[in-house]
Order: sequence, then structure tokens, then C-alpha cells
Amino acid sequence: MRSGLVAALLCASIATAQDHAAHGAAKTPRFALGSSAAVDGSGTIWAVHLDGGRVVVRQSAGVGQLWSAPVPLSAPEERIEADGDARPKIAVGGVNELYVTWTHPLAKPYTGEIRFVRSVDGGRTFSAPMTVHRDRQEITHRFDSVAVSQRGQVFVAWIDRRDAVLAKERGADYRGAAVYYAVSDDRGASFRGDFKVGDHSCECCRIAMRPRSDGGMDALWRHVFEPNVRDHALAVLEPDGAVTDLHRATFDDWRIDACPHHGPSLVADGAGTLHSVWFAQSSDDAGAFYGRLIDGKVEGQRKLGGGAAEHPDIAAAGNSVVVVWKEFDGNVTRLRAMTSDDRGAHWSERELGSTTDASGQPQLLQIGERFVVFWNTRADGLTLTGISR
Amino acid sequence: MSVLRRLLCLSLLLLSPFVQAEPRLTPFDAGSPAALRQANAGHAFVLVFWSVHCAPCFAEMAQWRAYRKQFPGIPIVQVATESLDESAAIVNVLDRYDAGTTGHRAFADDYAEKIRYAVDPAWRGETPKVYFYDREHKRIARSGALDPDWARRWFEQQSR
Repeated sequence: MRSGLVAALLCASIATAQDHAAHGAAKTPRFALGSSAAVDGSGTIWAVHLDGGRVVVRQSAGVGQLWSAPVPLSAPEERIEADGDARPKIAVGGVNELYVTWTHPLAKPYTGEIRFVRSVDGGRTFSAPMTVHRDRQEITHRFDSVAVSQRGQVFVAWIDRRDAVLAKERGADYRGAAVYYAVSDDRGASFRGDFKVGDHSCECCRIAMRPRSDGGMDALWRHVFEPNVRDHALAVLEPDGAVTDLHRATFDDWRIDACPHHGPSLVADGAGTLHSVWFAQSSDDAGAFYGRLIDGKVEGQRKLGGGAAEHPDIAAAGNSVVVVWKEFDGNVTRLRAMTSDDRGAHWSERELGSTTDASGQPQLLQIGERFVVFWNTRADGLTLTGISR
Repeated sequence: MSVLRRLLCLSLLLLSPFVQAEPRLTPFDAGSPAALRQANAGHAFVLVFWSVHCAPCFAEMAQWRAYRKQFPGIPIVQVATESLDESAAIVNVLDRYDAGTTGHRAFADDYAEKIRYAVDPAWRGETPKVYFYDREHKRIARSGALDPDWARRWFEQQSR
């Protein structure tokens, strides 16, 4: 032991130099793959991701155009979570508003705060980050989602464990976590909340939201139905905090106490029919699925791709519906899509691209009449690929 | 620093138990599953994947510690599915739920699908995911919170 101490002292200068090198690398992580994008009224694409440990925003004029230099939105000292479904999110409102959320992990594992930043001048300036929820316990507030309603109100939803913590204090059992949300009436200057959507959500999947024509928001999330079925629930979030029509939306009967980290997406076509993609592993089938969610039933459910499909996203406009996903075959990750021109009755499938290194989750954007896939890859960075119909 | 002092330092480092402590996290890459089978040829072992997002995984840390103590002949390799870039978050969980243990691993990088594929092409990334390898390395894959009675029976069987 004494020799160890002597060695430690003697070698202090060497160790210090090595430590600095190692810490330096850790403090400036590689360009993170977890990223999100949104399109503003002029067709400019806005992307957020983690760069050098900070949430940054960048813009591009479209497919084939360069991305602007990153503008940091978070403080250098703030820890950020940015992988998979827990990546930073961005939404666009009106003409000039940009809204960004992310999760700031706290000291205790699996705890966090939902942070929010806005621009009301088309991305020229951004506000300082604020915390969205009133509850400030050191507990889970994670897996943020942000969307803007037809009336311009900003909805932020997240996974919250306050009810699980209370139950535990009382010695009661509690399945999973809960979904909460908050609403801003003043373009993100302040939020009202926290409104509870429902008990017993899954703990580690993103929440899908899509604006309804009546000013509310449809929300779809992985739930934990009794006893441990991790299928999805759908509900309407009203701007006043009321939650209506909460019901089971998918029926794969995935019974598991696990963390899939694989959340759903939700859109509506021109006739108002909800189309969704999600991930499930039932006893007889596993994979990514598409289906129309109609009155508590799934219509036209089909499995995506060749079985290894993961992290799908969906977009719709008029009679067109587009689904994208990625699929790894052991060597190559392929970006694949299927498109329908008759609201999901018939589909055609194609490959859009591929990469032989790490990649994030693909996201569908609509630019005017065109669908575009946003995909962050280690090899090529932020990519945009148009889908011809 | 003089060459002499460097040499002295190096030799003391080699001798010293103080600095030979195992690092808290070592990388697990696409070559690791084969390397583990080779290192454990003819022996049973368990491969446990967990995530910093996975509350059920934290709850099972104590269980793995108990199995390790009770069945010391069966190696239990625990791997975080986050990349080593996320070391701070991983170690934060370990400090709270598995303090004092060594031998933990994390994905070597964020090309997670490649590492997962090398483990099991059918594994879709959900955690906890556990592979129980018997002496012939026939394996049983389990997703989600483990049935402790089943696991105990497996350990007892393999220890006979």
C-alpha cells in the first residue's frame, strides 16, 4: 500500500496530464445522434441536437442545402440528455415562433427537469432556458414532447413519477409512471399546469402529440395496462387541462416489465383519420407496426419492413400517408419508406438511403406539398432526403 | 520529468496494488460476445444488459449482486447499453444501486444496433435483457424483469 502511495505521488504529474486528456474528451462528446427537426412557414428547416454538451439549433433552406453554424441554447454547465427518444425536441408556431424542449437530468438517477426555450423572432434570438413544470421534486420529469395547437397554444407533455413516489411512500404498488402536460397561452412566456393525463404510463418512451382542429391535442403514449401490458393509450388533452376520451389504442398484448425506449408517432390525414406507427413485441410477433386508430380499434395493422425495422415515424397530408423507419442487417442500416395515396389502403415500399455507421432516429417533415426525411448519421451528419410520391 | 523518474514511476505503478484497481467501466463492443464465450469455454455465464433509462433494471442490481455472491462459479457480466460517452450517467446509477462492485461494462460507442446485432439479431434494444449461457453455451434469452425463482433454479442447476 505504501508503495502505491509513493507511486501515486511520484506519478501525480503524469496522471494529471492523462486525466486532463481523458476529461477533455468526455466534456466535448462527439456530435450526438439524438436530434429533432421542424419546418417553419417559409419552408426553413430547424434542427436541434447536442453539440459539445450543449443543445444547439441550426437551420437549412431545404434538401441539398447547407446547415447553418450551431447556435447554443443551453448553458455550458447544464447537463443534457440527448439519446434515442430522450433527444431534444423542436416545434414551430405561427410564423415566427420556435419552441425547443429537452431533459436536464438531476443528480439522482432517472430524475430530471423539462427545460424550454423559445424564439419569437424567427430564430434570430432565443430566450434563456426555463423549467416547464411546477413540481420541482428531484424525481422523474423526463421524455419531453412539444407541439403547437391550432390556436397557437404550446403543449409540453412529459413522463412524471410524482404519483409513483407518493404511492411508494404509502407502501402501495404503482405500475410505471404518469403522463403530465402544461400549456402556454402566451407563446411560451409562461406555462399553466401541471395537468395529469393519466396514471400508469411506461417510463421510457417518447409521447406522440398531434394538434386537433378543435384546439386540443391528441396524445398517444406507451401505457402499462393491467397487469403489465405495455400497449398504447390515446387521449385528448384540452387546453384547460381537462383530459377526455382516454382509451386503449393498440392491442399487441406486450406483457413485460421492461424499458423499450421506443415510442410511437401519430398523425391525421385530410379526413381526420388517425394513423400511427409504434413498436411492440407480442408473443407471436415483434417489430414496428403501422395502423389506423379508429374508435378504440386498430384498422389495417401491418408490420413494417423485413422484421428488423425500428424507430418508425409517420406523416400525412390529404390522402397521402408516408412511413419511414430504419433497418439494420448486421452491416448496413437502411432508411426505408412506404407511401400510400389512398389513406393507407394500399402501400408501396422503397429504400431511401443507407449508412454503415451509427445513426439517429429518422423523422418525417412536410415542406409544402413534399415529404422529407430528416436523419442524423455519424457518416454524413444531418441529412435531408425528399420522398417522391 | 527525467527518464529515471519515469522508469521509477512505471515500475512502482506495476508493483502497486493501489493503482491496479479495475476501471469502473470497460467497453463492450461487437467482438465482446464471442470473446466472452471463448473466455468462458465449457462454463456457464450470464450476460445482463441494462440502461440508465430503465427503472426495472436498477431494482435488479441487488439481485445480481446476491447471485454473484451465492454462485461465485458463474460469471455475471453486466453491460450498460449507453455508450462510454455517457459514463457519468452510468456511474451515477452504479454508485447508487451497485456501489463497490467492479467489472461493469458499457457499449463502446453509440453504434448500438451493431453491438446488439452481435449479441442477438433478434434483440430490439429493450432492457433489462438477459442471456443465460449454460456450459455448452446454449442460451436462454429473457426480456423484462426477471422471475427470481426461475433465475435461482437456473443458477442452482448450472452449479451442480
